[in-house]
Amino acid sequence: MVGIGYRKDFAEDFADNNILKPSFIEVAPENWMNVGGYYKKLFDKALEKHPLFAHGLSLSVGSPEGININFVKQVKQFLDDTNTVEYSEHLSFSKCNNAHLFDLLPIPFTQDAVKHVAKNIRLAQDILERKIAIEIVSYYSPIAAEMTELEFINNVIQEADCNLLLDVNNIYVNSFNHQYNAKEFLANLDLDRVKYIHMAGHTQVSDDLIIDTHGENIIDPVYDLFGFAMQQLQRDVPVLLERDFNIPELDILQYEMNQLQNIKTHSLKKQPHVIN
Amino acid sequence: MLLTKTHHHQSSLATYCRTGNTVEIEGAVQKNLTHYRRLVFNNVLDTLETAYPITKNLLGDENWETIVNRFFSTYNIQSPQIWMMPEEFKNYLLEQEKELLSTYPLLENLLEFEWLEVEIFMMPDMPHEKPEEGFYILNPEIDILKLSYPVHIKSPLLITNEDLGTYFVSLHRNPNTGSVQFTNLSIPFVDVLEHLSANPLSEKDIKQILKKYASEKEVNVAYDEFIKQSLATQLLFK
Repeated sequence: MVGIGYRKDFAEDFADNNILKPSFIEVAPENWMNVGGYYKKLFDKALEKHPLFAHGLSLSVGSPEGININFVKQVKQFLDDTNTVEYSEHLSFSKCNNAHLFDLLPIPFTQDAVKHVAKNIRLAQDILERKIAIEIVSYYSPIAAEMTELEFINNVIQEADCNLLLDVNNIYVNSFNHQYNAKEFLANLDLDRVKYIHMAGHTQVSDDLIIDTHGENIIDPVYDLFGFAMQQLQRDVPVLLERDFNIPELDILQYEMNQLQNIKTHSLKKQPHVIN
Repeated sequence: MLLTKTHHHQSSLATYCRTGNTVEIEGAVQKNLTHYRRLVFNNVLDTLETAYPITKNLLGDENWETIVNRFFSTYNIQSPQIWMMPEEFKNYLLEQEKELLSTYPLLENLLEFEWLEVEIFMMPDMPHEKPEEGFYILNPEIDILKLSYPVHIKSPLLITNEDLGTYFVSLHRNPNTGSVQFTNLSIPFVDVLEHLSANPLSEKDIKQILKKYASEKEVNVAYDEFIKQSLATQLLFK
């Protein structure tokens, strides 16, 4: 399965023609909860034909003050109403000092943060009555790290008993920004917990920094890393193409989705045994 | 339990993103932190500019950015849904920016008007039943604003104290196009819409209300125009 991040920018074209042929669509619940109107009608129409994956923005599992219970209950209602297949969120914080910031800020890689974040995820999962696939976010600076990023992620998902959203582009971006081997990093994740994959483009802003913009086409090294991830996983996992800005013609998005399907199919083919 | 020092590091990063005032954070790459401030603040600026394009034009780019920065650095945004954040911005300005409001007397009206457009555009769908033959019903996706300045029919840059008065405007969502449409209303038609919000009305009922304000000849002309326009924009259904 290869899906697409559903956006108002192409909602009309998506409803009117068959250029985009995703196996599923993904939205942020925050953008569609408790709303109506023209775009909601188009969204409802899209839901008649496509399963929904929901990718949250404001749960803020890393918030020092914890998660907002009422908000989680509203998300649950949305997931139930839309028969959402998979709900994912970010391993980051977007609320602090009782104020939303609407961006994904990096959590300090510390043992107490592991415990705190895992507790927040478990609480959210209890309310939602489902597991959350937690996404490894891209980050541009560590904050008071006491362990490696890899240790932090593996500890959180094990302690929270949650699933993992493998954002391959984020791993590429982080490996570039923080100078580590992306394949080695990926191979050392708890891959049994991967339930969902994201793929996207990014923007290099300097010699030593990439920003995760979702505003460009996927580049070849990220496709390569995706192929490596599929070889490591050796099972079919839903993959999403994210494109949030600078959105091209739909046939270009479909081309990228075809690329992802081809790489996945190729990577999952059984390798022939060599007889000596 | 989260240690005080971890909480402090997170708080420092969040405060930096909100204020842009440089902070020392243990282990952080300072030159890269600037991207967080840029991304976070631009997201807020873009969202508010989309919601309040006329207000931004009235205040000017530099003034606007200063005000948004003051809002974002001092006010704690409560909504997890970013599209609702502009309402908090409006409330902040009305409650906290008294000097600004006295410099721009029409600002309160303008903010209410621009926010209502967003709110009506986004509001949950409200089903309505088909009225009985010969009756009109009001589109339930509607609100009416009472204004002291004509911000809905005149550029705020051209409005002067001489325009001070009483104005009414309704904003409703056209179910066919999803767009929000404005109707400048005189007091008699505010009266009609208020009655329609309670019950379906017939031609006779509507004319009866209008007769309180005008002669029979004027009523007939005004009624015909109102019904024609209201059905075209789906302010009313029949």
